[in-house]
Amino acid sequence: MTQITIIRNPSPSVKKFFDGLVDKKHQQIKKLEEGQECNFTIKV
Amino acid sequence: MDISFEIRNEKDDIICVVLSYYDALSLGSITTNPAILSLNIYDVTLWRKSGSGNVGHKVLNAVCKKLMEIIKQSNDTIFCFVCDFSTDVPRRHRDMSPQEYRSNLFTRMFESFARHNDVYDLVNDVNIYEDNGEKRYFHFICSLKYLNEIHTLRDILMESK
Repeated sequence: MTQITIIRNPSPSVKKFFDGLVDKKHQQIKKLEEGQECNFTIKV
Repeated sequence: MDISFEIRNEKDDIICVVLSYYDALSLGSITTNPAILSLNIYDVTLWRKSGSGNVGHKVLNAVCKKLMEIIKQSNDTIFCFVCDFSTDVPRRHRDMSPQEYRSNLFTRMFESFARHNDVYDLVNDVNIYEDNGEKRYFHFICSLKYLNEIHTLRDILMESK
């Protein structure tokens, strides 16, 4: 089941919070790009 | 603890999935609600390690299958998927923003997997807010029984100062 909510007028801290999460994602990706191995592999 | 795995097909198309744990300390900075602090919340990062063109259906299906298995094994797990808005993504529909494309792709993956595997007890909760006139997307994926908790968490995030 998919639900969609549109949030009007979020507080300014929301931008900071989600910008932080996106920054964290980029850090995770950078580690992978630099050769960090995943815990396990699934072949399909 | 963070968990990472890669899904690889016979053409060496590889998607890496990183699940980053929100520890109680991180959540504690935004809420003292015990129901929220007791949840196992992971941020989901998807990264294409190799391959070109559209990601194969089998690979996307395997990503979904593994995420659903983790939720089934630990029923109080909640995934949060924040759609990256700062990096581009190859797509035919150039009228869509990268984050809207990622959100739609994630929902299509979830819906397709749920439909083909008779999954009725999980929810894909899509939240859209505007930042300087641009839409941002984030999803919560969890068991239906945690719908109230994720709505509480969403409200906390939206109202926190």
